[in-house]
Amino acid sequence: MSVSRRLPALLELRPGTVLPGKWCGHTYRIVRFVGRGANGAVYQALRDRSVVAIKIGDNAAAVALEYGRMRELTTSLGASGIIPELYEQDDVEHGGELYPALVMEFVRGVSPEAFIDLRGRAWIPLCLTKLLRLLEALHAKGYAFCDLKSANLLFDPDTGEPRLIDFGGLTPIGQAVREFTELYDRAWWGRGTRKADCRYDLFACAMLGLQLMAPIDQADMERLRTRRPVERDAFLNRCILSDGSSWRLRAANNREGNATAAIFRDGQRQLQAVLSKALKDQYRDPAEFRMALAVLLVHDREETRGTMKHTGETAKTAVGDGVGLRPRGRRRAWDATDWGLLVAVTIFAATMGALLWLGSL
Amino acid sequence: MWDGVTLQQLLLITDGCSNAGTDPVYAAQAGRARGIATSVIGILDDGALGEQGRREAENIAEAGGGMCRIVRIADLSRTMQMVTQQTMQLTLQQVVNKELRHLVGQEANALPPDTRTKVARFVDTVTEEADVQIGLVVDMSASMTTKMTAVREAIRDLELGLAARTGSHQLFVITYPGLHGEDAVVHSLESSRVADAIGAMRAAGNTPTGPALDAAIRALLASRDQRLAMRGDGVDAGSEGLLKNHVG
Repeated sequence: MSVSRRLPALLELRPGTVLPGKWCGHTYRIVRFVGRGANGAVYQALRDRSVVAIKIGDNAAAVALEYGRMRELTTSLGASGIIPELYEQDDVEHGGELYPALVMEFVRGVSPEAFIDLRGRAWIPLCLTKLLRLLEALHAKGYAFCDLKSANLLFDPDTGEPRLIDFGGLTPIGQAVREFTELYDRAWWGRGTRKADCRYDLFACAMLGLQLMAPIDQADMERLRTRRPVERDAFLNRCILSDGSSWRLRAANNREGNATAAIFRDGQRQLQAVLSKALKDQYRDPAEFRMALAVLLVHDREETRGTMKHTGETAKTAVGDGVGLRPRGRRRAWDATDWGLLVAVTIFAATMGALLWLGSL
Repeated sequence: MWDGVTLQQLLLITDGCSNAGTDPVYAAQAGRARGIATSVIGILDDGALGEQGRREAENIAEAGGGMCRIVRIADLSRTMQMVTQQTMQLTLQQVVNKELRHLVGQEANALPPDTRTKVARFVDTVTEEADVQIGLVVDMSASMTTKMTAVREAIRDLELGLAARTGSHQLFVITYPGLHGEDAVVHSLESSRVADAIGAMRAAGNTPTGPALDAAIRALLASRDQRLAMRGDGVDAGSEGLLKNHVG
């Protein structure tokens, strides 16, 4: 029995399939197919009784390399949530063949697009800020993420924290980028080299911002494939420098209130300017990009307060890292604690009243 | 120790079946025997690839010790990057496996995962640092005419990817058939100008894939001899004993 070098195109693991591991003594029960990553197919699975993500690779060397790099980062970053918790590397058996597998934490969350639809476009600067912090942590350890794109990112719908999920593209700074997606690749747009450095990630991050605000049409991408990088560069310039009226903005979701939409119209021009600078490689590092976004956040907060007065909505605590999020425009539900407090206060008042009355007798 | 190692590979881009000259499968095999891997990208869009062309593509890659991918023209750029990258790894992995069999009686994939990681890291480093010479063998028969702009940009993109590596790179372009009845033309161009030169070429005639591969192999071998003569030693990726200090 040997490890097959290629994953047969038709190998689709059905829910319920049990895969015994060869080296670590665990068995994995497939729950569902999640998606296709850089180095293989990712499934949600049960390992003993816990839920894990298992990436079944099509190239043992690539899986081994991804594991090695993630292991190294885990050691230096600790359990900081910057990378998914890494469990083990193993070979799993299916139909008499061995496949290389990577077992890690199953990260829950929603896509960046879904998150912005849920919260509103005014959240874009904050999302990018949080994402830049993650990237900075990786850069500090000598790695660039490289294959940064919407599909490799999940947001916690409650706290708004982003998680990076596919580390197949992770590259030591200074080496050539291995995994990339044209849309997010600065070299493809004629705006720099394809060498891994912190500004490579920064470009992809700005592109993500643009995608969340006004996605570049798929048909335009198809057309640009046969064009020279100079022409692609000019196209991107037109995209970002337009006055915004021609942007095909992401359709506003019903949940995105009118107030938020109005705020966003004001902030849009500034965000546009920041993204434009980032896409032109004019920020030295993620920190500088983050500072530029921070100015927007402050502006945003003031605008938000002003609008809130008029609409009488609950003040939102959206701005600033790590602040808990709450669906906006809705009062917090009256819960058990509140009832308890009310009862306690009533009893206290009644007792005091009774004591006063007794004392006055 | 890996300084001076030059990886050589051919990448055949075609949308049809060979119909003139020697058998391309035979040519690829001959190249492999000389340490040159041959990979194939077959293009699907409105070409004459068909079942026969697909099988031929697979057979050429199999005989050439490379990879075979059948893709739409829209995916050409991405596929070219991936195929050149993975062919380099494959070539190195074969050398490493040979050494491992020799040293510990096992191939990398049969090793425990942690040891495998060390081997993979080593192969990855060499992939980044080794010098590469890539012979792009481009089918210019009539059905390719509409695809040449995409091929041009894919080559430019490949060049961008190669330029980012630490090791040096050199692109050879072999187009076939030639405009004046020759089977194939070997172009001597600066790597960075290859794309535009290809874009300006006219497609015409039949499909002598075998002779084109032969010409490409001759060109790479001539270049290898030249490099060795300049350096005065004889190290190439096929040499034994390169790994003993790295894997234990």
